[in-house]
Amino acid sequence: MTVNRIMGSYTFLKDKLLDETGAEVMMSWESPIMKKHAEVVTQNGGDILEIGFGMGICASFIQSHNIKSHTIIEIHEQVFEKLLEWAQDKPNVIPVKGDWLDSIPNKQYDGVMFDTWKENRIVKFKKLIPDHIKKGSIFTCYNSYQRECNGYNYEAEYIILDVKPTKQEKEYFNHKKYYLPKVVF
Amino acid sequence: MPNINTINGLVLCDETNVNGVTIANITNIDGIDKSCGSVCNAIALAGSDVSCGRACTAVCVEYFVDKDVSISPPGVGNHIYDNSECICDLPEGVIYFSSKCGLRSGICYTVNPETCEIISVDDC
Repeated sequence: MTVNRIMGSYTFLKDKLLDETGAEVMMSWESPIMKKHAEVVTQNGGDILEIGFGMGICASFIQSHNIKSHTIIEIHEQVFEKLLEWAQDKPNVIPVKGDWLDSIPNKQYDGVMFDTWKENRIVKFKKLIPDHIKKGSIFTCYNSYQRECNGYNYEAEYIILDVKPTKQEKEYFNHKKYYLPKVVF
Repeated sequence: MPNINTINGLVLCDETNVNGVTIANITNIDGIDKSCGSVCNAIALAGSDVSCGRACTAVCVEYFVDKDVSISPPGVGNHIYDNSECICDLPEGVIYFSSKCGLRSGICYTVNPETCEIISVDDC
């Protein structure tokens, strides 16, 4: 497949990751959010699928839990290089370079964390994911909604977190509450 | 929902000639566009009749676009529909559509309600 998504040059700063337009892709203030996402997605233990590596914040928290394997799919060349570097001393990490649409390994996961940039294929994700989960698998995702809903329209339990976003050039989240969805399939 | 692709059991899109009229020459019937062979893909969007700002925070449902979103997002010149036949029949007044859906980033599309064509694209 020819993919022309998200191929611009990223800038890696200590506290944020910027895309080619200068928009914040991810920021370090999200650490408490990502810590909770990691806690939620690993509740079953087992095999974890993380789609989108970003700054690796969630991935690092996932690694602090007792899991069997940690597959991470990343499409962006520069971010994938960071992922490879980060994964060097983590034997249960399986880095996958590519678009999640055609890169998810043929496997069923116990937990799935979805957090990508410039995504518009939720409908396709919902059709694809049943092949990669089992009964009781947990799904969680970045969620900017300020109420109990998620972009996938999955029935979910919500963990409401108090957050303190730092200033952003291109505002992507400026709220004091974060509605973290936990879906159990 | 009107469907000009099937009339009286005849699948119009499978025919080349009906009553002496070449099907390829028919672009619409009573203002409803024919959509034979065109791309019509599902996409999650949130619509608003107020503003992009409102659409960008609204809950997404399934819409359809004449674009393969697997490769790249829709843009100016593409069309947004509320039916899987990709027939232009949007709810009155709804002209803003956002793909943000609670994600990190998203696009707000403004459409011409008469044609369903995307006429401008903005960030959410």
